[in-house]
Amino acid sequence: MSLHEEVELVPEEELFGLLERRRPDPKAFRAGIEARIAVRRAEAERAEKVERKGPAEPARTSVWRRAGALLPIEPFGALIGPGPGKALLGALALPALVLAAAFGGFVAGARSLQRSIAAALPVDPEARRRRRRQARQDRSLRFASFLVALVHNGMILAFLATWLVGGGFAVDVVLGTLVVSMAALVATVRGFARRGLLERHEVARLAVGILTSVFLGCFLWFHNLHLVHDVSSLGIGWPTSVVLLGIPACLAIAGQGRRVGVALGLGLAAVVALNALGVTRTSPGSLRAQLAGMDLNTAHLRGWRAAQALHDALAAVGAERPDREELLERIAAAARAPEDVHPMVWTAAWRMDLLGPAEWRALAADPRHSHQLDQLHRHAVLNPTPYYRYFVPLLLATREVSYDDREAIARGVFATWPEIGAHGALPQAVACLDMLDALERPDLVGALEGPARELVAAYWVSGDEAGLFDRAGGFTSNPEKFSTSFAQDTLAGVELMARFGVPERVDRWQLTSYLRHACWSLPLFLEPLPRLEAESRAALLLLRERIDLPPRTWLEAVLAERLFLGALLVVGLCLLAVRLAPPLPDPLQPPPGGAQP
Amino acid sequence: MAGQVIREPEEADFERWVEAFRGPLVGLLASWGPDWRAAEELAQDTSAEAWLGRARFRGDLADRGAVGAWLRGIAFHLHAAARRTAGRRRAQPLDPEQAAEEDKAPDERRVLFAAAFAELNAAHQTVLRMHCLEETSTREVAALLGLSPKAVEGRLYQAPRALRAMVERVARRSAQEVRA
Repeated sequence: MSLHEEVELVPEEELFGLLERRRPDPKAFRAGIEARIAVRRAEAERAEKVERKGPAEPARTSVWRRAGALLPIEPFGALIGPGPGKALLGALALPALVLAAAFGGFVAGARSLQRSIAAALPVDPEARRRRRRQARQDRSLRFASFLVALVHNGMILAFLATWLVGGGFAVDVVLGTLVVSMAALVATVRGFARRGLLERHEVARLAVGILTSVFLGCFLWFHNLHLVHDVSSLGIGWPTSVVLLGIPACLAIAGQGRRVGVALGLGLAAVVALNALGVTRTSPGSLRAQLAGMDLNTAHLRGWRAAQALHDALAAVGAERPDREELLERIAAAARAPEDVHPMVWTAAWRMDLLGPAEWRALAADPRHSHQLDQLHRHAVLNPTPYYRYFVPLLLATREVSYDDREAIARGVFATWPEIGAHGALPQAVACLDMLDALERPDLVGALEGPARELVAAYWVSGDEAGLFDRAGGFTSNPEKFSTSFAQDTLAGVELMARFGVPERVDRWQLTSYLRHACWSLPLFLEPLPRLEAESRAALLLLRERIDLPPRTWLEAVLAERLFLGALLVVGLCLLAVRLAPPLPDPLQPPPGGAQP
Repeated sequence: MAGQVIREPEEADFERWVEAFRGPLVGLLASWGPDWRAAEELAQDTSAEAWLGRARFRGDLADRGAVGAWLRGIAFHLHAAARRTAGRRRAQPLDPEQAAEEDKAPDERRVLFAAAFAELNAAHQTVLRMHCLEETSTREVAALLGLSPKAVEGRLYQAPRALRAMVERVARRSAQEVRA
C-alpha cells in the first residue's frame, strides 16, 4: 500500500496517537500544582513577615534611578546627526515651533501680566463707568478685541488651514489659536491696567469669557466634525476637559463662590454629556456585552455584519464570546427554511460558529444552494462578493471533495484576490483569505503577503492628503474616488495588517486616533444603535491587541500631546491673571491708613 | 439563578476540575504558546492560581461553562504575562521537527502526519489539541474556548476532514519533491 493510500482516512486513534507523548502525566501534573501552591504560600508568608517589620529602607541609589527614569535618555539625540535625525527634524519642525510659541507665550504673558498689574492705575469704583467709555479708545484693548474675535473663530481658521494645506495642520492651527487667546488675555489686562479698570472680578470675567470662547471656538466643533488629525494618546477630550474645568477654577480664585458651583456643575455636565474624556467602549468585556445585546433576526440583514465584526475581533484576541443559545435555535430554524435569508446571515453565522453539521446539510439540500455548490464543486466557479464566502465551508462540510477538485477551488478562490484600485478591495481580500483558510491553504495565504501589504498601503487615507471634511487615518473603499475613511474598509485593513504586518506608509498613531474618534461613545453613553460603531470598535480592539504601536521618543510623545499642554498653559495663564489682579476695595472697610476723623 | 447558593470551591471540586480540564487546558495553552513543555507548566500555574484564588470564583460550581471561563481567564493573564517577559511569539504548530528529533527512528507516516497538522488553520489545530490530548469531551473544550458545545462539535467534524485533505496534499508534495 502506498503512503498516499495509507493516509486516505484519519481515524481518531491516529490523532490520539499523535498527541500521546504530549499527554501530561496526571500524578506529575498534580505534584507540579502542589509544588506551585507551596511556593506561592511560602512567598506570601515571607511577604507578610516583611510587611510586619515595616517597609525596607530604600536604597539611596534607587531614588536617583527613579528620578533618572523620568528623564529622557537622549533628549535631542534623534534630532542630531545625519539621516533619520534630519528627517525627524523636518517632520517635527512645525509642531515643535507652535508648542515652543505656546510655552514662550505663557512665559512672556506671565511676565507682562506681572508688570502691567504692578504698574496699574488704582481702581476707582466711582469713575468706572466713565473710564469704561474711554477704554473703547484704548489701542491695547481694541487689539485685544480683535484677538478675541480670532479665538471665537478658531474653528473657521482650522477649516481654512485644512482647505489650503491639508488636515495635517489642523491641530497646530488650533494650538496657534490658543496662543492668540493668551495674547488676548494679556493685552486686555494691560488695557485694564492703563485705564484703572483692573480688579479681580473684572479679570475673572475676562478669563471666563476667553476660556468659553476657546471651548466654543476650538474644541466643541473640533471633535464633532472629526477634523482631528493627530497622533495624541489623550485625544481632544482631555484638553476640552481642562478648559471646561478651568472656568470654575477662575471663579473660585476670584471668590465668586455662588457662581463656582454653577460653573463646576455645567463643566462636569459638559464633560460627561460630550464624553469629553473619549470613552470608546472597546474593551473585550464591553464588546462582548454589545454583541450579546444585539437583536439578530435571520429575516433581516440588520446587525449581522456588525455582529460578525465583533465576534471575529473577540476571537482574534482570544477573548471569550457571549453564549447565544437563542441564536443557535434561530439559525437552526432558518437553515431548515433558508429561502428568505440573505447570504450575509449565513456568512456571519459561519464566522460566529453558529452552524453545525445538521445546519450545513440543511443548507446544502436547498435547491438554490445546491446549484451554486455544483458550480463551485464541478467548475470552481464562485461568486466573489464577500458575503458569499460561506459556500466554501458549506462545500467542504457536505460533499466529498477530491484532491484535484480542492486544488481547482483553491485556484479559483486565489483568483478572486482584488486588484489595486478595485472598489471595496480590502473586504474582498479578507474574504479571499477566509476562504483560503477554510481550504487549509497556508501556502497560498503566505503567497499573498506582499500583495496584501501593497493593497493596504494603496487604500490608506493619509492625513496629509485628506480634504476639508475627509476623515483621515483609516482606509477607503476606493482610492480613486474617495479620500475619506470608511468603517468596513478600515476594519478589513486592520485585519490584513494583523495578519501580514504594517506597511511603512501607514501611520499607526494616526490610525489609532481615527479609530478612537470613530468609536467615541455618544453623549451620556446612550447608544440606541451600537451596531453603527461595531466595526470601528472591533478594529480598535484588534489594533490594540494584535498590532504594536511603534515606540516614540520623549520629544515625539510631548509633541503629540501639544494640544493638551497648550490647554494647560492657557488655563494656567488665566488663573495667574485672576490671582495677580487686586480685589476691588470694600467700601464698608476703612482704608489702610485708618478711619478719617 | 434563583435559590442558587454560592459557596467556595472545596478540594473535591478542585480535583474534579483538574481532572476534567487538564488535557484541554494544556492543549489550549500549547496553541497559544511556544511549546508543549511550557504549556504544561503554564497549565499547572493556572491550576495553582485557581486554587489559591478560589474565593474569587462566583459561579455555580457544577457549571462547567463558568469554571472553564474562569480558568481560561486565569490562563490568558498568565500566558500574557509570560509572553511579555519572553517577548512576542506566535503560536507554533505541532513542531514536527522536534517530533522527528525526539524519535530515534522517526516514523515516516507520523512525520507526514505532523507536517500536515502543522499546516491546518489555527482554529482546527486548537480544537484537535484540546480534544485529542486526553480524549476530553466537547463540553470541557467548549467551556475553555468560550464556545457552545455545538460549535466545538462542528469544528471537530470539520477538522479531521481538513487534516485528511492536508495529509494528502503534503504527501503529494513530498512525492513531487522526491521525483524532482
